[in-house]
Amino acid sequence: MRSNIFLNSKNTFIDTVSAENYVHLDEVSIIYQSLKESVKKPLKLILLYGKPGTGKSMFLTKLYQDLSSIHKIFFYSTPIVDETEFYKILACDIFDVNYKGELNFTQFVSIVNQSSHEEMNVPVVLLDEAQLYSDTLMEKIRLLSDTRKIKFVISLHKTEKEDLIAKEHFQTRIWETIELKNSSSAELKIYIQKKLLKANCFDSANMFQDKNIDLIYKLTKGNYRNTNKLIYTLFDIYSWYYTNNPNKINTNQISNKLIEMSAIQTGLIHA
Amino acid sequence: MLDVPVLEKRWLSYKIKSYLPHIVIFMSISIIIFVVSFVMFFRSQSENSKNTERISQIQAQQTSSIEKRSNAEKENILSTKQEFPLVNSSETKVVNSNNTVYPTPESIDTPQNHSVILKPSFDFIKNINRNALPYNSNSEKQKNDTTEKSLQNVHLKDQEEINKKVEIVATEPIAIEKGVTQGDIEHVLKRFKQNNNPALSLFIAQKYYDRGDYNNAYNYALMTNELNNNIEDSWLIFTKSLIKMGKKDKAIKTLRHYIEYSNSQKASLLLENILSGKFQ
Repeated sequence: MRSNIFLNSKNTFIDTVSAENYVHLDEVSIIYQSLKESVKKPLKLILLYGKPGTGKSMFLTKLYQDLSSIHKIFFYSTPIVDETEFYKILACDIFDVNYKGELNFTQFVSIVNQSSHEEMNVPVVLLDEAQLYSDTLMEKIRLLSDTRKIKFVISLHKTEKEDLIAKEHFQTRIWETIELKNSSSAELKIYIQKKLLKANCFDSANMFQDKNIDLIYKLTKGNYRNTNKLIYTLFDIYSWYYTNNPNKINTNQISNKLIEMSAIQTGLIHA
Repeated sequence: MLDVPVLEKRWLSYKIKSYLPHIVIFMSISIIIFVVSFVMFFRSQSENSKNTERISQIQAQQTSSIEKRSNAEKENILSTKQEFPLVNSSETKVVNSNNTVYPTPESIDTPQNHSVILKPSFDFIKNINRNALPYNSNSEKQKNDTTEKSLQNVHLKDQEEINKKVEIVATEPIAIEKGVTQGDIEHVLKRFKQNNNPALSLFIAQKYYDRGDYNNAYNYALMTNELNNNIEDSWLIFTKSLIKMGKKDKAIKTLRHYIEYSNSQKASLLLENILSGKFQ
């Protein structure tokens, strides 16, 4: 049934952070390769920052998936706010030290220094949503990176935390700074169509015209998360029409009216 | 939960809101254009109607004036027969009583008030003079063409005989020889009585003189001079009329006085012609 295509198309745009959903776009791939190469360098810190929805988490997820087989890499998508818990988890995951009781920074540094990892195979810790870490813990992370026994890749929003990172004592330790930006209109079209083609939704992919993409870009400003939300709702509306009032929709072409309705539903348009 | 009908309504209101400024701008521009074009159209319409009204008014005025003129001419024909003798009698008084160069207003019997409304150019006098022969040739023409009656009038001594002859001179050429232009002079006379324009009286004097009606020419030259004593032609016609009426001494005296006053070359030439006998 045709409605299944709309449902499949809709499910393609469920906003999940999964390496499977990663879409290779030219510019994003260049950035990703750059990050991948940076990890291999004897760096201390890599800062990955950008506005919400620009694909930072997806980047880290993809990086983790790609490097986990060849490199000792650890990905923490949710921040470990408690300091002791943070040290204990890192000691357990990286150094296989199950520390019972409270583990302070000094004890953790001694564990790190006792580690016998080679310089080229230094474990990499990916910390997503690093803006949620406290300033004290961020300072401790900086000190840990100075031991050269652990590499940190931290991703954060372009918020006040960025100012902290930008401080001189942090700046000297950051080897690479990568900013993720919203996509362009052309990239957005590729992103949408690649996503749909990846899910074998060929008919749905062909329904998108340039004017639809332009409108979507205008509404989402190239933000991937907003685009996912919008197109998910769009196919949801198409599914509803197909079931309840199929005469009102044109299955050969996406209607800008339905895109705007989706934008109203998702809050991108304040009607 | 997705409620598409509600969403459709929200979308509709959103579209109306988004198009509303454009609609308002478009409507306001179109209204402005409409109002401007409407005003322009009605202005042109009203101007056209005003013009047509003016034209019709002018036409109506013209037709009414033509009717008035025709009526006035009819009346004038009747009245001039009564007026001319009066003028003649008054003229005789002036000739007899006035020995001065400048005619006095009291000496002229003017039925209308003396307020001059229009003062047109006197250029037409030049045209008249151009058409008229020069003094020498004029005198020759007088000898050849003008009637013997005018010559006889000059030699008359008795004032009553002069009047009688003048009446003959005044009536005969007008009635018989130049009957066609009589209407023109009457029309100008009518106009002169209405506005006392010296240009008109000068025209009448010139016309009378050309016809050989020297008595009337004298009278109207005198009237012109009374209204405006700076018109050279009125002096010349006045003098020439006196000569034709046989009052050569008075004419010479008057002309000399005018030459002293104005240094007119024309007047000097005329005086020379009179003194040499070229102009008789």
